[in-house]
Amino acid sequence: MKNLVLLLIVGLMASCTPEPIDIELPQAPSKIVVSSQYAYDTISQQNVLLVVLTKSFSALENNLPVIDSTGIHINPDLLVSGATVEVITPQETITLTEGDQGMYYAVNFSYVPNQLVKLVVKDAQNNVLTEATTGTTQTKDFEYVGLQQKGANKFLNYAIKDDPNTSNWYLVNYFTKQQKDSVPNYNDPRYIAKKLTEQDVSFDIYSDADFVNGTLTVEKNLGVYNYDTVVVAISEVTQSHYQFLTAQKRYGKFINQLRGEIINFPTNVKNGYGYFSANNPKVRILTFN
Amino acid sequence: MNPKIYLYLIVLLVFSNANAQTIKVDGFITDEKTGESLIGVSVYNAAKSTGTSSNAYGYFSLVLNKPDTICFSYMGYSLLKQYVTNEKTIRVQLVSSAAELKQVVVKANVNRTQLNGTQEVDLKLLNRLPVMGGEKDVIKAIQFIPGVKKGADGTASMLVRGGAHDQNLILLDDAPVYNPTHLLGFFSLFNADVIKDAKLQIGAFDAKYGGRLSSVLDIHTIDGDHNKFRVQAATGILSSKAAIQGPMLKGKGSYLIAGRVSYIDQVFKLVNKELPFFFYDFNAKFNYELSPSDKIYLSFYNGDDYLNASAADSNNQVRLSSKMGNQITSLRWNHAFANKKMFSNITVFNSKYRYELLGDFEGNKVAVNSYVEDLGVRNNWEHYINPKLNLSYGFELIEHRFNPNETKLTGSFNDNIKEKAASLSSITESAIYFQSFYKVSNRIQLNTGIRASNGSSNLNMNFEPRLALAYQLNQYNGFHLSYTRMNQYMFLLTGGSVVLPTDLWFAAKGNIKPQQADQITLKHELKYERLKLQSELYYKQMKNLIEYKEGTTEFIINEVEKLITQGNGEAYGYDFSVNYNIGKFSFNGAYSLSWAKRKFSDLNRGEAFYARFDRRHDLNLIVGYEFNQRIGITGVWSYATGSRFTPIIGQFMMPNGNYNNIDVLPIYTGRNAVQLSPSHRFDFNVVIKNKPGKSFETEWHVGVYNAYNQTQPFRIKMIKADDGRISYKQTGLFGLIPHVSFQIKL
Repeated sequence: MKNLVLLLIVGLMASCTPEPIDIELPQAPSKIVVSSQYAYDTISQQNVLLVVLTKSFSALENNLPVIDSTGIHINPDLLVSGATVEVITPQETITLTEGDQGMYYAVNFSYVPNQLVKLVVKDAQNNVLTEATTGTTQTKDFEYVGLQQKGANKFLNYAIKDDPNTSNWYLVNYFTKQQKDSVPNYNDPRYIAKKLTEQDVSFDIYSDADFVNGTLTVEKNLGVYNYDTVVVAISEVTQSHYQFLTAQKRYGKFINQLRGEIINFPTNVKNGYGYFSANNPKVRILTFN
Repeated sequence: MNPKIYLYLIVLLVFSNANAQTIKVDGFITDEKTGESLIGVSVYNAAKSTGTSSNAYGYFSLVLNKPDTICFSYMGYSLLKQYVTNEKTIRVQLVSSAAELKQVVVKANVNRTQLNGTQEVDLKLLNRLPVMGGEKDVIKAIQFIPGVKKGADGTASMLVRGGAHDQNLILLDDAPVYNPTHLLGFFSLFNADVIKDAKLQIGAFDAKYGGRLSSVLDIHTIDGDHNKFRVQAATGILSSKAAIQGPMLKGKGSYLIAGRVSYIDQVFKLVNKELPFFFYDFNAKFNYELSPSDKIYLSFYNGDDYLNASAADSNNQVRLSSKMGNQITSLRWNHAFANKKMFSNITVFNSKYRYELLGDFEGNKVAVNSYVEDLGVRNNWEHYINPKLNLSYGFELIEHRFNPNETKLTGSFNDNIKEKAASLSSITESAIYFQSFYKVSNRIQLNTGIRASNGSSNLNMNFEPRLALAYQLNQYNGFHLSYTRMNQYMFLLTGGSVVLPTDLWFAAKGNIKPQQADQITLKHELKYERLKLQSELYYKQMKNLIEYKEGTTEFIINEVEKLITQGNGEAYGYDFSVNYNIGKFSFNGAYSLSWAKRKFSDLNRGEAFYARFDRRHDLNLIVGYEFNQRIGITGVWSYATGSRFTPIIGQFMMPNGNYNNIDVLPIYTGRNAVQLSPSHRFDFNVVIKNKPGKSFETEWHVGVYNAYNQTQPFRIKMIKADDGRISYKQTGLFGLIPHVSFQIKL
């Protein structure tokens, strides 16, 4: 009898799922998104300033870029093409050339450290769509120490020297051959296990707080890495760029995505999103035996 | 006001009233049948010109100006009168009456407006309230008090006047409780069958309380029957429990032993669903009368929650298990002095909340252990100077010990989890306090108190004034004005979106400043025959509140200072309650209109934002009807404005830091800028008792939670329609849930 009552109740419990309630959430208006990169182009054998203009989109839209063997493909509706993009330095004003849709570049950009660079984006009627200002930085190098095997993992050892009397911020990129993640599935404990145990090699950022007596000693865990080459690029960046990268790095962390904590991304783009940067990286290709 | 001047004024007030000629009467008040001490019994003279109430140990002391009749009045008991001609100590035994069945939410002192802002939780109503699963829960009953908001639907959480979860001082037999819930917060750890008395203060705090900003919940358990061995047992769909109590040591003492165990995991298995949680708890209490003036009490609580979850396929296996719970012990000795003017209680306590997590990720193992522990001593004196003046003073000394996230790893893990050795730390919290309760005239009462507290290694004291003024306008109306300051030296670090039992307590030390709140209240109370109305305005300002910095990425917390940010908050609003009883019918209503705001320079781009549980309206209506002595029904309708959250309202693409992929990044609204839809539901509970006069008592409880199966919005889901359009839907945690439980007392 008791079991019968229990079954009845449990059955009723399981059957009573109320109807969900609709809710309208506000949607942010679409704005221009700026991203940029200053790098050495091996084809033209020149330093290239690349600016990419896209548009922000609704939270309800699924616009994940598609990656295949030919590259990264973005929804063309989100690319801002036909704009006039100018970069203004104390020495000159350069109008960038539009390459692919939404991509603008200048090959003749002369990099002068420690000055302000202004980006102006105009539409066909010469109306200013957005502006952004950033600073250029010194080119920095690092001292490679060696590669170390600890257990199953490889560790890259290097050091960065810094002037302890000035405030500096750094971005270090690692380019390794490694498998990219599959689609996240936070309901699957095995996905969680993978994210907790596999090493994630991406980029690191440093500030003065990480330095001891003007030296930063890094032991970078590359995880189980069976290849003979790692490309490392080091840049000094501005403080606000460092803050943007900090937010981006936090957002990319598995624990943050699991907890769903809020991150508001800082920006130097007027009435827009993203970050206009002009850091000049020193690229090193490290080959191991 | 300068603290020294303030202290001087209090001392002046005390000694200006210390020399009147009087008759002193004191004693203990107990239940005639069980010998249980009775808390809060109103004791007053025939003319009602002087009065007091029994304290937490049933002790009272009354000072009369001349030979007089003393009345002892207590809800559910027959009025007792005793003529006193000379100074004496008396033992008062009150006889339970048929009036026991009558319901009120808040019991007040019969003669005067309440001065201390205390809300007494009506345990008889608690027994009749409909609750999810039929598991009686004192905290869920407290959620019906205006000014107290619940967290998520069905949880036993308390958010008081714009405060956070960790701002409530919860005392079980004088020992603090750190995590007062079971089963991820859905049930409180207090076994309702062993609670004798529960009092809540949400403003006008007594000086003897401190260490939390927003509320004090003081719970005392049953001492145990002094005259007869008794057994009681209850079973429901989620848990079963049993208790025994009886006399010991030739009637000089008594004991209570109670246990409770849940089997919700087994219930879910019946419908092929997994809910791998269960809990148990255990209460024991012993008391012994050393002499007519001395009594000792030993209380013990232990309870644990267990989780055992796993996911596996042919190649991989992931296991997660946890054990978390409280262990609380308190030893109290109280002494009534021969001069009949003083009562002292000293409590030594230990309270520990600990959790263990074990994870096995395909052979890579992680073990995390954490605990917070208090070792403390508290000494309180009550001093009954004359009919106009009572004093309360004492001290408190607590060592808070912390061991957060001791982590051991076996196998391969990445930077998300790092090994961490045990890192024991502690702070000593100390306080001295003094409070006077002064009856200026028949219409005016004044409480002045001060608490000096310290929660750091230096000797700087933080002064916390406690002021309250009551004015009895006429027979029916009274007003009450109060100002209090509270300091909090510990905090619970919780995420913005969820509160978990694995959240950790930390000390406010180093660069972390203690939290502080100043609160002003103005209350009006109307009592007219069986009608009682209370309305209260409040304004609370909070400093040094603590939140995670934006974008927390840490799972194992090493340096808490780097993770948090401190800011300010304010809360204000209006709380209203009405209680009305006539014959078999009772009605209780509670309404809160409130605002709760925060401002942190590091959050929400420095702009002010609403707290997550800022809800403009909360309304609870409770209607009871007793058909006869055996059958009664209680229905509750609740309405609450939706909780706040921070949705993603847009997205944008940026190359990742390595320029080899693209991140899609979120655009949020302002922090907590959007509200869920309001929630409302109707619950009812029918109590069916056996015929009176039997040698045993039985009770059936049958009812329904969320009777019209309304969604109580808790989260947002994105739903993709057949035509590809995406929309948002709010879903809840629970729908209609019936309950049935059975209780027997021998």
